[in-house]
Amino acid sequence: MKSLIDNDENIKIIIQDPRTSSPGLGLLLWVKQVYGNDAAAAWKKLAPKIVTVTKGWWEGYSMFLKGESDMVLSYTTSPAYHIIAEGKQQYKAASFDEGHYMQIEIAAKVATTKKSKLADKFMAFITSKDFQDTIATGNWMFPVAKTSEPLDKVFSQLVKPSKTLMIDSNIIKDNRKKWTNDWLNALSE
Amino acid sequence: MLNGRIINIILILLPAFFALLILLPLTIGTLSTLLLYGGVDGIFDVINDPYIHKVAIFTVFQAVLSTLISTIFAIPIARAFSRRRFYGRDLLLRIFSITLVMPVIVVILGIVIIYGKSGFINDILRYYGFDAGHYLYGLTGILIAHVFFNMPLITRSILNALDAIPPENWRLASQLGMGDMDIFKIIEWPVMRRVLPGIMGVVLMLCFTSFAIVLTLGGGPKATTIEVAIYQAIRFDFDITRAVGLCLMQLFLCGTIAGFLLRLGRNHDFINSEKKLYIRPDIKYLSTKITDIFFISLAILFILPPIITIILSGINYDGIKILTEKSMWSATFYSVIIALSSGILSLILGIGLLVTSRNLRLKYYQIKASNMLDLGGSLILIMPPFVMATGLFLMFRNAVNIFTIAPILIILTNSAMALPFIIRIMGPALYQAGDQYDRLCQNLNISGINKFKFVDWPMVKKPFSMAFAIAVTISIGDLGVVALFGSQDFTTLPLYIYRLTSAYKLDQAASAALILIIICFALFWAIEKICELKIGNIKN
Repeated sequence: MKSLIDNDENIKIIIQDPRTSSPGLGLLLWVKQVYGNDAAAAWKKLAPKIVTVTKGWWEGYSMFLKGESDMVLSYTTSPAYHIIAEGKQQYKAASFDEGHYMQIEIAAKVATTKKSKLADKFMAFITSKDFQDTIATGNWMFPVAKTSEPLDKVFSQLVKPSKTLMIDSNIIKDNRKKWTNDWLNALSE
Repeated sequence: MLNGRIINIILILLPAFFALLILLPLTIGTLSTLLLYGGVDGIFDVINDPYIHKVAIFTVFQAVLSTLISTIFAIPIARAFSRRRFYGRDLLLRIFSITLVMPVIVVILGIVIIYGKSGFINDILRYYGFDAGHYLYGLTGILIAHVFFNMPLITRSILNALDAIPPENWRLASQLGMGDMDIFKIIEWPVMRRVLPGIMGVVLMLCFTSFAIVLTLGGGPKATTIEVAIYQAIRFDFDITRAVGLCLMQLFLCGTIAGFLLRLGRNHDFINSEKKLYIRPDIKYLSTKITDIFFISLAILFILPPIITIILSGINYDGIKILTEKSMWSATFYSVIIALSSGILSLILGIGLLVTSRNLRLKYYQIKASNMLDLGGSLILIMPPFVMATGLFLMFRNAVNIFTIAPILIILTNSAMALPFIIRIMGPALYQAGDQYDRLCQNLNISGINKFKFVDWPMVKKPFSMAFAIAVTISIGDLGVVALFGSQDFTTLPLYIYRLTSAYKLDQAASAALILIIICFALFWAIEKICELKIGNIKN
């Protein structure tokens, strides 16, 4: 992260807005965990490298594919899509020395649901092999539970983060608003 | 006598009453539900928030600038189209009708392919040794996209008005040997003044509430609209009170500017003899030949390239596969049904408001009340769909299963969103028909269906078909509310596209977007053709 932010070369990057996109929020937390109280200064330093901040992941990624930037905020598993589905090798994920922030897709059961049993069944289904088998090459992320067959070997060749970054969800809950405002102010100047 | 008068007034108010029966719950109803839920404490905090100040100033600034630039180009382009007949003119005008309803993200990518860092323009510049770099991001990008969406709409509206100029005026202009400027000032400007404020008001509201364009092409959070802040408050912070506060701020700011515009467009003083053939004397002038070629080429060069890129990226091997997907066709089917239903509901609501408003104005001289109805119906465009949808959700969540009534909610909100177009596009024609023929009809005792058939319809059918087509296609292209209420069993085309994109199926998404555009185009064409059919044997 530091070698990106302190880089003197004119690297251009597209990121997503933490207010509208969950990978965007992930980057906010990532920078926070790496820089702590100096996060705002880091964002200001990164600002000239940012081409634009998109609403969702797709907008940003499509613009990157159209050649609008050198880098884009995406998943370490993104290259797997290009290799497996398109046979293209030219897209690579960068490995960050400080580690990568974890992106987890979640499913939840509503506490007040009237169809509790059905919800339980569904929750059980999404951790089953039938469901998890489709994740790697459908959602292009890592499955969270066992699959019936090993993943495509491409997945083992991807960038493996040296360290997994995660901020405690309670801390996020209490600080997200403030951190987002700091981010807004850092990039609005 | 008195009783008869009261009954008359009630009859006149009835259409608007029924329209309001649906519109008020959608607006004031949803806002108050939200307030009941979130409480009113701190609702005006947003007024003292320095960040929101910056956002509000930028929102107004970009919206006003986008509207002005769209209008400044639309005027000479509409004049050129009015003067010239050329091969492909009709096709161009049809394309003009659908830019407004194209999926935003598709247009953004189209614009990026032309104007982006690795885009077409930069390719040409690089050939000559220049590199304009990332010039697109910032105000430039926002303006290019907003002009792309809205300039064609304004052009079409002006052109409709110019087409309605009676041939007598042109004959007079020929006889007096009027020059280009005189024709503009004396003949065209008074006609434009009737339609411009209304349509500019609508465009201003569209740009004011612009969301994805401003975020994506604005280049960062410096460029943010109030709508983004509202989305953030609801989806991100779940701070309902703040969302309502921001929503009220948006209503106030945009309502003031749009209201000012609408007050400008009050004069009703030209006669329309509704004969189509006319010969404009200025088609022979060399000066207009030069300017017309210039402006028509400009319009073509500006509008067509992004559309061509959208079409080309839609035609690809992977994408053709979706033609065999059942889910794609069911999404298309739902989209068309929803769109037609909301279009029809929107027409009913709009005509309800307009009929009452026209009678209030022409029969009782209640100009203020009449303006209030028009303005109210138009301002609904500033209601953020997320606020409406969340309010509806809270209203109904305990009474019914929200997903079973999802189609109804989507039809309701979509029809409300299209209402301003109905009012702005049909309103002037309906007033004019009333202004000219109401008294005559009274003398001749023509009323009811006959009055509609012989008097109103011939004068309003053109704006009617345009308004209806826009209402239908706006609904078909809308993702906003469906994103909240859609489900596996109920997917519309925009939602289908959105789901493809989150699974990297970018090629298929591009093809689905192309299908969406083709359907919009076909619907527009079909509606215009059907409305051209004559009712009965009226000659006009």
